[in-house]
Amino acid sequence: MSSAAEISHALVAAQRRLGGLTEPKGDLEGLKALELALRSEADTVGTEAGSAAVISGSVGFVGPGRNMFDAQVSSVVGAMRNAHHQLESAARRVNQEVTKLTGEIKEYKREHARLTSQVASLRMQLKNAR
Amino acid sequence: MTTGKVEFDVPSMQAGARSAATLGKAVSGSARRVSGLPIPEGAPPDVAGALQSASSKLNGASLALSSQGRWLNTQAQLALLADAIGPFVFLLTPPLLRARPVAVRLPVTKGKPDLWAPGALADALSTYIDKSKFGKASAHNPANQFSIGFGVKFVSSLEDLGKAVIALGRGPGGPIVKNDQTVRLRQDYIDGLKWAAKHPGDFAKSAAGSFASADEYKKHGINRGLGANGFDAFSMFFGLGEIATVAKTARAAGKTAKLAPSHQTSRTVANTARAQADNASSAVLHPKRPGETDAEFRLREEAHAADQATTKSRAETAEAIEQRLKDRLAESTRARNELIAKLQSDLHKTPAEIRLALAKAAATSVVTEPPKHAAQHRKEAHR
Repeated sequence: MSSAAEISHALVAAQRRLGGLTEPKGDLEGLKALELALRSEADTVGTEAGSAAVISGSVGFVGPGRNMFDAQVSSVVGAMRNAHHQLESAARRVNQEVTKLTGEIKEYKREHARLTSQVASLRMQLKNAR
Repeated sequence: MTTGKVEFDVPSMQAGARSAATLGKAVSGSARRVSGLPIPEGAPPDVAGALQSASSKLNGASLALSSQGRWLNTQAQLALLADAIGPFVFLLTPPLLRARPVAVRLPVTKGKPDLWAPGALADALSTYIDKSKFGKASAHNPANQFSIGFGVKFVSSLEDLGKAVIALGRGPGGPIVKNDQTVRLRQDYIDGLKWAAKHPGDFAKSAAGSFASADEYKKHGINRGLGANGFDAFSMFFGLGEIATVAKTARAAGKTAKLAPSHQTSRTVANTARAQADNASSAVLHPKRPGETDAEFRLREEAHAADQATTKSRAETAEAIEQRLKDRLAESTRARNELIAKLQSDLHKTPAEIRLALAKAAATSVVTEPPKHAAQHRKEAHR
């Protein structure tokens, strides 16, 4: 059986740890919404790039200017696909951040609950010891 | 000098022009939505840069698509004109039309010829004359061919003028028989002419640009350049429809030209507006107190500005940001659906054909989100 002094010492240490806990910073909901919006925009841009690629094939003319037209369309499609990949990549980065932040918040809550329970238990022990 | 075969499929070019214009608008919308996405606290630092870069690329693509749409439309119009003027096609300025286009067909709407297309009646007249005894007999007679070409062009000009008058005379519930194309034509004319009336200088520049360019003089000598100018002037004089087309093109070009400087000066404008607002608020809300030194006044003002900034940033809560993002998500989904519907109507394809074409295009290099994943996200957004 521990003495009251030992319990008191352990209680102070636990309270100090509890006070030193900091909640992870970051707008989790906002990040989730941003990821969703980025995925949606990437999807839209991908569809638009596909549609732009279809235009070139659907236009029927032969003659000077055709090659230039095709080159311009493929350049536009390339730029749109590039933008699509950038948006996808940004969505993935945000997703990683969401996962990381979710883990940190979960860990914080678990630690907070553990320390709170420990402090309550030590207080009870101290009361009994006295 | 190109003497190769020249072929035009006018309906497909017009459909392509419409699709390009629609896509240009849709892509511009995407660029606007992407650049307006709020960056919440805790977002990776490189995301903002990636969004800006993507938005800039999309803006460029939007401008390029609109310009290609205009070019296609112009080429389609020139093809119809070339078909109408027959042997005088060589007078047209673009080298593209040096040879008489073959495979030019009247735009078809639901299986019937579109009589409201520019020069449609003159085209029919030209075909009729070619098939008639007189036409066959004078196939190798230059004077007769000149007369036929002149006459057909004259009819075409009168026809365009008549259509413009009919379309312009059609008000809401007007006397002309109900026809969506006349309504559309009327709106085109009105928009173009309004713009031309407001911007006479730009209109004149664009009209001059639509005549033979300086390049034509450089490439082919002064005679051909003068001939092209003369023909275009004649056509412009009679063809009210062409004035509207030029006005529309110039208006679109004007919008494009205005976009670039506004981007460059937006920061300056914003700074000026902010400075003006700051001056106004500091003058009204924070007059200098009696006995207060300049340094004390500045410090007080800075503290006030910091307070305001903090209050403003707190006001924009995560909930508000999420709501805005959800709104944008809904807008983006709606834009995509509208785009697909528009493309379907433009290209006269069934939904299955559109989906097949999109799938083919996507399969080449675009890796889009799997449908299941997208559906899951939509469910989450709905919740």
